[in-house]
Amino acid sequence: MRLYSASSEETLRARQLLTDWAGDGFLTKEQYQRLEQGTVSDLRTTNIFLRLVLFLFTLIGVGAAVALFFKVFLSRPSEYTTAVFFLIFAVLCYAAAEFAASQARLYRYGIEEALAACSVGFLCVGMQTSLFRGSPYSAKPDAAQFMVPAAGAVLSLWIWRRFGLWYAFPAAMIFVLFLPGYWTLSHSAQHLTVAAFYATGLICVYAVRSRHRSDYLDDAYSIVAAFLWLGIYLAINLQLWSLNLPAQWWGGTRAGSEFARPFYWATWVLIWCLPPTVLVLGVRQKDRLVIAVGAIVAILTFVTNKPYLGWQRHTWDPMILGMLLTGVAVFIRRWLGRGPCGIRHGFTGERLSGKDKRWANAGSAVFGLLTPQSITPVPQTGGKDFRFGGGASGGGGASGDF
Amino acid sequence: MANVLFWAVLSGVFIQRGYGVWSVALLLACGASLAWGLARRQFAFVAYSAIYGYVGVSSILIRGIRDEILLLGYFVITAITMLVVLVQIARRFGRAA
Repeated sequence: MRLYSASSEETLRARQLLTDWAGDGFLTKEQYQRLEQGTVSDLRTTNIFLRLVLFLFTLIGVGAAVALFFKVFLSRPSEYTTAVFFLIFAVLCYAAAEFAASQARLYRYGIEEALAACSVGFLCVGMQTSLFRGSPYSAKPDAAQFMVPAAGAVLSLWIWRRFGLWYAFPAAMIFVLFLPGYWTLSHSAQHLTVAAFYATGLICVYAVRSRHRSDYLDDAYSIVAAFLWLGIYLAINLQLWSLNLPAQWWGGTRAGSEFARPFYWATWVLIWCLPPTVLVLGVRQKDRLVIAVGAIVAILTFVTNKPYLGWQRHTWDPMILGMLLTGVAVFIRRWLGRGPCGIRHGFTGERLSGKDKRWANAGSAVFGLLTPQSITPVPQTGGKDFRFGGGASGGGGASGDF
Repeated sequence: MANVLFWAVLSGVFIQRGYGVWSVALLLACGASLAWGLARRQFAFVAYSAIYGYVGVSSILIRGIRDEILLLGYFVITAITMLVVLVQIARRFGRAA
C-alpha cells in the first residue's frame, strides 16, 4: 500500500540517525563516512526550507493553472461542468503526485505533497459543487452532504498511508469533525461521535503499532497516536468548543448550558481522567509525543477547570499555573538527576541529542511570539463612575483618577 | 533578523508611489541572501530570497495588469519557472539521499 519500499524508508531513517549522531559528536568523521556508504537510497529528498518553498510554488502553479483553464475554456460553465472538471483535476493532481513519487522518486520534496493536497481540495470542491448545488441528480442533498467531508477524510487517510505524509492524518481528523453535523443536531451526540471515531482510530493504531516498534513506521504511528489522543481530549472538553471562549472564560459563565447535566459532568470527569492516562501510557511506552500530548492536555485541564465549574477567573490564575508548571518541571528534573548516573527507569533530564536543542529553540521561538498581553485578560472596569483622563501634565498625570 | 529586513523592504515595495528604491533594495537583499545561502549552504536564506523576491517582484509586475488571463498566465509561468530553478538548486546544492 505504501508508495515507497520499506528498505528505502528504513535506509533514509538510518541516514537521518547517522546525521544526528554525527552532529552530536557521537560518531567520528571516519565512522560517519564509512557508515554513510551503507545508507544510500534511491529516493530524492531535500531540506525543510526548499521543501516548503517547492510546496508553495506548486500550489500557486496548480491553482493558477486550474483557474486559467476555467477562464480560457469555460466562459460560463454550468455547475455540473464545473464539478466534473474539478473531479478531473483531482484525478490529474493525484496521478501527478503518484508519478512524481514513483518515477521521479521524490520523497517529502514539496512538489508531490502539494499535488496530493490539491487533489483533496479539488475532490471536495468537485463533490460539493456536483452534489449539493441544485444539481438534478441529487435527490436528497442535505442528507447525503456528509459525503464531502467523508471523501476528504478517506482521501487524506489514503495519502497519509500511501505517501507517509504525517499532516494528512490531522487533515483527515479535521474532516471527521464535520461528519456528525450532518447526522444529528444534538451537540452531545456530535461530541460523542467525534470522540468515538478518534477512539476507534486509536485502538487500530495501537493494534497495528505493536508490530512496528523498532522500524521506521514507529515514528509515524507515534505522531498519529499523539494526534488521536489530543483529538479525543478536544472532543470531550466542552469548554474548548465554545465560540466566545475568552468572554466565557473570564466572565465565569458556563459554555455547557446547551448540554445535558449528566453529559456535561461526565466530560468534566473525563478531562481529569484522560491526562494521567495519556501520560502513563506515554511514559510506559517511552513515547515522547504521547508524553507531550499528555502534558498539553493536563495543562488544558487546569486552564479549563474553572470555566467548567463556573467559577470566576482571576488575573493571577496564569501566574499560579506558571509557578505550578515550573515547580513540577524542576522537581522532575531534580528527581531524575538524583537517580544512578542521572537516570531513572530509562529517563534522564540531560540533553542527549541535538534534536532536543532544536525542539527547545523552536518552542522558545513560538512561545516568544505570545506576549503576556495576549494571554492575560483585560482588567474589567467594574464601577459606573470609572473615568479615564484627568491626568495633568507633569508628574506623569499622577494627579488623575486613573 | 533576515525576516525583519525582508518585511521592512517588502512594505516599501507595496506602497503605491516611490517604490523604485525599495524594489532595488529588495533585489539587492534577495541577491545577497541567495549568495549567502548558497555559499554557506544555509538553505533558509535561499528560501527567503525565493519567497520574498517572488512576492515583491510579482507585486510590482502585476500592479498594472487588469487582464485576468494574463494575470493567471503570469502565475502559472512564474511558478513553474521558480519550481524548475529551485529543483536545479536543490539538485546541485542539496543532497540526493
